Amino acid sequence: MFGKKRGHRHTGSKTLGSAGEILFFALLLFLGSAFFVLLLTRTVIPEWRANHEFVETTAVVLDKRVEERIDRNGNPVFAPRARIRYEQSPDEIWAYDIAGTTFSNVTDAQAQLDLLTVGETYPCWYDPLNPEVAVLVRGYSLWFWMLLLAPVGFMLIGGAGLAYALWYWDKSPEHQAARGQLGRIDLFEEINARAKDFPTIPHDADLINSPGTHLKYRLPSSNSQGWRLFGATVVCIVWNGIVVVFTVLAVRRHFHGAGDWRLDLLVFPFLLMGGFLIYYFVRELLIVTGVGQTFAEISDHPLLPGGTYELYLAQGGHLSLKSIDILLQCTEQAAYRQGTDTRTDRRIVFSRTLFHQDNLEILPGQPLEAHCDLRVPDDAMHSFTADHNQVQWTLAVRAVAEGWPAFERNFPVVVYPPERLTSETDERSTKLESELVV
Amino acid sequence: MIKALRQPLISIQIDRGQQVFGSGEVLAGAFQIDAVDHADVRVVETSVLWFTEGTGDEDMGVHYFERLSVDDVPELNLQERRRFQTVLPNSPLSYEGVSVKICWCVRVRVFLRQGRDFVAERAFQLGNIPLVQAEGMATI
Repeated sequence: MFGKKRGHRHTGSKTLGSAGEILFFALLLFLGSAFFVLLLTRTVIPEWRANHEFVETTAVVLDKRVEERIDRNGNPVFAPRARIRYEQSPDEIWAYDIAGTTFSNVTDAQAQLDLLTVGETYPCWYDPLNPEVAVLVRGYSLWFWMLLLAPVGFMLIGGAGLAYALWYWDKSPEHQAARGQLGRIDLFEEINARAKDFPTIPHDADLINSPGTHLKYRLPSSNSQGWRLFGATVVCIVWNGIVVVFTVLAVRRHFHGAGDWRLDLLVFPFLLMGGFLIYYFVRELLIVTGVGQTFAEISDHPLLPGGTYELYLAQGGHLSLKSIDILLQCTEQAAYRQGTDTRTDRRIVFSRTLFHQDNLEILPGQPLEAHCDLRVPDDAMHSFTADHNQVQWTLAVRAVAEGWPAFERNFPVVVYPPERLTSETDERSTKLESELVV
Repeated sequence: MIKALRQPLISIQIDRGQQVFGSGEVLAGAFQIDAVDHADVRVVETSVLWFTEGTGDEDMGVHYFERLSVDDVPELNLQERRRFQTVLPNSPLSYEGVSVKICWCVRVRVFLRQGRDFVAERAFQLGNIPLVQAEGMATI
C-alpha cells in the first residue's frame, strides 16, 4: 500500500542560489581579468617594450627638475625629470623612465637626477612606433610584477569557482554525488575492483604486504608515537623559547632593583605550562627510544565477523612490566566543522581483552612472546571510511612498566562484512543491469 | 497574479513492504507524484543511497541514480507510477553507532518549473548489524 506524504524537505530555490554563486564567481573573474589587463597594458607591456623594443640612441640633457605630484592617497611624491633632445624626435621632451617612477621624498628623487649633468650626452632609448617617447633609464619595477599575483589569484578563484558552479548547475546533492563517484579515475584497477565490491571499506593492501615470521602477516603499527614525539618537540621548543625570553626579562628587572610583580604573575603560568611540556617531551622520548619494538602477526586478513584468527605478539626491550594487555577495539571517528575549525570526535565503542599478563620481566634478546586467539564478534560492524566518518578496528597493546610511563601501540586491522554468495548476486546484478535504464 | 505554490505528494513504495535487506539482494519498488500539475514537473530524480548521521559532517554515497527530465524527453509524463530496482551492494551496512550512524534510503526529488524542489524518502535497512555495540563501551 502506498503511504502518501508531502515532500517534506523542500530546500527553496536552488536555481536562485546557484545563480548567485555563479554571479559572485563571475564577478571575481571579471574584476581579476580587468585588473590584470589594466596592469598588463599600463605597466607590464610598456616596460617590456622599453627594455626590448625601444631603439638605442644618444640624447643631450638640456634641463632637469624634480616634479612634485600627489599620489592616490593625497600624499606628495617626487618624480625626477630631464629635458632631452635626440635626433629622432623633432621636439625636446621631458623624460626619465617608462613607469614614471616617483619617490616619497625630494632627496631620493634629486639623487637620481644628480647622476645626470646638464649639457652632457647620455644613452637614451626611444619608441620606434612613436619616436617622441623615450627613456633615459630602463629596467623593471619588480613590485609591479609582484602585483600581478593579486589579479591572477582573483582570476584563479573566480575561474575555478565559476567552473565548479557551472558544473553543478541545477544538480541535486544526489546527482553531484553520483557524478563524483562515476568520475573517479581507475588508476589502480585491481584495488578499485575490490573497492567496487566493498565500497567505503578501507583497502588492506598496506596491512598485508609484510609476511610474518610466525604467522601469515606482520601488521604495521599505526606509528602515531613518532609523530607525537615530533609534535611534542616542536611545541616544547617554541613555547619554552618564548617563555625563556620573558623569564630572563623578569629576572633581570629584579637584579636591577626594578622588579615588576605584574610581569612575574603574567609569566608564572606560562612557565608552569613550559615545565609540563618538558615533562611531556621527556615522557614521549623515553617511550619511543627506551621501550623496545612491538611486533604483531596475524594468521589471516581481512577479518570477517564471527571469524577466529591466530595472533602472535612480541615485545622487546629491557622492561619490568606490571601488566600487558592486547585488546581488540572498535573506534568511531567523526569529523565536523565548528566555525572555522575542524574537530574530530573519537569514541571506543567496543573493547575486548584478548590477552592479559601481570608482573613479567623482559630482558634484552628475550622478548615477551604471546600467542592468543582473536575472535571477531558475529555481529561486528565492518570497517568503514568516508570523508568525515570512520569506523576503525585496531589491535591495541597496552603496557604498564616499572619506571616507565604507560604506553600503547596500535595495529589497525580491517573487518569486512559477512560473506555472501558472490556469484549468485553477480548473476542477478548482470540481469538487472540489462533491465534498468539509468 | 500570485499563484499559490502547491507541494507535490510523493509516494514511495518498496515491494512487499520489505524493510530489511541483505547485501546483494534486489531492492525494487515504485514511486508516484500527485497533487501537482503535470506541466509543472520538470525533473524527477530517483536515488538509492546511504548517508551518515551523528556527530560528524554528513557523508553520502549514491548507489543507484536515475534522472528523468521533460527537457530531454518532452512526451514524458512524470506523474505516472514508475518502478525502480537495483542490486544492493556489500557495504556500507546500516549501522547505528554512538557517534556514527549509516542510514540507507530511497529518495525521490522532484524539481518544479518554478525552480523549487521537493524531496521524499523511504528508509530501509541494509544488513543486520545490531543497533548498539555490545561490549566495553568507553569514551576517549
